[in-house]
Amino acid sequence: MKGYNYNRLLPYVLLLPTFILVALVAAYPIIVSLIYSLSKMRYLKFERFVGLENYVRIMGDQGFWQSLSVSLKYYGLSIAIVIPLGLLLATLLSSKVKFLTLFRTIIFLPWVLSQTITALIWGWLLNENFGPILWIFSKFGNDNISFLSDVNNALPLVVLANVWNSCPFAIIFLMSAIQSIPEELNEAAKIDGANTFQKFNKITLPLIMPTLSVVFIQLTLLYFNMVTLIFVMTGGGPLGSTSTLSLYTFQHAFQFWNTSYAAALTFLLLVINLLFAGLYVRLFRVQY
Amino acid sequence: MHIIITKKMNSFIIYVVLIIASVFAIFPIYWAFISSLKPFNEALFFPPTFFPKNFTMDNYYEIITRYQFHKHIFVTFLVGIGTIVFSLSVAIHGAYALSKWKVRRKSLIMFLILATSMIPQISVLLPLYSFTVRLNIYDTLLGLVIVYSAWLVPAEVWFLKNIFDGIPTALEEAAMIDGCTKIGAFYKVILPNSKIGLVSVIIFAFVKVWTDFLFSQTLILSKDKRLVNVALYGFLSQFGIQWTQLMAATILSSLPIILIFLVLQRFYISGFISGAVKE
Repeated sequence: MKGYNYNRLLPYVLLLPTFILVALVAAYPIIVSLIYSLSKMRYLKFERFVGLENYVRIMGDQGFWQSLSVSLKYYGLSIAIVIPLGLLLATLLSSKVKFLTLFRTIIFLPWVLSQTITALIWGWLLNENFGPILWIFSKFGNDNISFLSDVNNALPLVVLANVWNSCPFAIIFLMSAIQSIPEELNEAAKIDGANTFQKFNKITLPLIMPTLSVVFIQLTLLYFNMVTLIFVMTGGGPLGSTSTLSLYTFQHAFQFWNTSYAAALTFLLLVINLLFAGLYVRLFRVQY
Repeated sequence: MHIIITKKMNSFIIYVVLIIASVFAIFPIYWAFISSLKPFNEALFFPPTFFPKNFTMDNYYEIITRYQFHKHIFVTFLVGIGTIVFSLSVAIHGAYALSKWKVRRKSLIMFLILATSMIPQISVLLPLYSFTVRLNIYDTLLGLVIVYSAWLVPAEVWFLKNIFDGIPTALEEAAMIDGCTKIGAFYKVILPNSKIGLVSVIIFAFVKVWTDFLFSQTLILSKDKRLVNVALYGFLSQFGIQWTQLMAATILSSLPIILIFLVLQRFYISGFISGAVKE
């Protein structure tokens, strides 16, 4: 009798610490940011409830809408480069060429570096007085160009650093999918006279579609919520031209210390992301 | 109309594309590396020197003696190891319960764990900051370890459950016939048979801590407790620090992770890929 109860309870005891930690990163932030966002806070001190005031303020905040549009530009530009580039390189790195391991290792390498380091290295490469990229431009007679301090150039350049850092992630995923395609399928297509492009279009692409969707979702979450790379590289400047919604939220929370306003932004981000993540899990019927 | 590309032409194009991609990937790292070996005045040459005229180790010497960078590396190791120990002892048991025991509403629990593993840092940063302040663990390494563990446990449970699922029940039963309890069989049979998966999870957790910026930036105040990335960022605004020294610090803090990647590439990749998707 005792053993029976013990065996029924044991799994829940084993799961308890997991539940507590999961609650700390899921339930707790939802509740806390909701409460803060409905209150007037001075730093972390509750003063009074103000209802939806903070959300109304967000709707009328020029900075919010601007950062949302920067977010969408940053996300759209990054994904539009990384997905095709990732597909191309994953295909090439799955073919039979010499020095394959060497090529793979080199091309994957930027992915292991942190966003902070990516930002610092690219900041130094893009130095406006004596950097190597300036030197290339000066070779073409244009040595009066500014990079990260230019309102129009900053965002595409942060995207460039982001592509450098995160494209290998897409390549690695897609490669594993491409390599799991049975060899016979390609052989059969070859016998039927299909060329490289046709093989890719009719065999590879349909078969890696599930993985491609996963990559798409993962990158969407990564890019939409990215703070560190942008924060270290430009700090959101010049003139807010690289200030994404996530960075805007971060700055309200930890630079301007507008706790309740930042909590409202946080709550919005949290809801958007949870909906997105839930949709992803349902949509692709991830098995568990 | 068929465009006929001969096999030779085809592989020539492949090589050209791969070489361009490799140069794009490696040049920024190469540039950081040679900059760290240049005397500061040479770094200011224009046109720049693509191979240092005068090698020097001064930048490394300065970054360690004057800016005490090795201390930040040590603290990061400490927090990384603490996080591995704490988060894995939690995740191993949670994953085991979900894999080998009858748990009610298992699929709902797995769904919530997976969804939680996808919550981005920015949307939990402020609440977790307030959590550490209220619990008096703000600006402590313990607080950092707790937050990192909570952040990583969902992905670790997800990953480990898949590993444990792949271990045949027959192995467990054999151990139980030999007189093990069911949970004893877990420690004696299942865990030792999951070594490869465990290595991947350990690398995953370590890399996550090592490359993080946001948690250590917001939950730590004291300069001497800064993890590497926050220390690097701090150097940016520090008066008098030179770019060549900054690049030396950049190289030093990338080295451990590059080494792990080069030596354990297979585990490294599987730790990150399997955390994100189950095939």
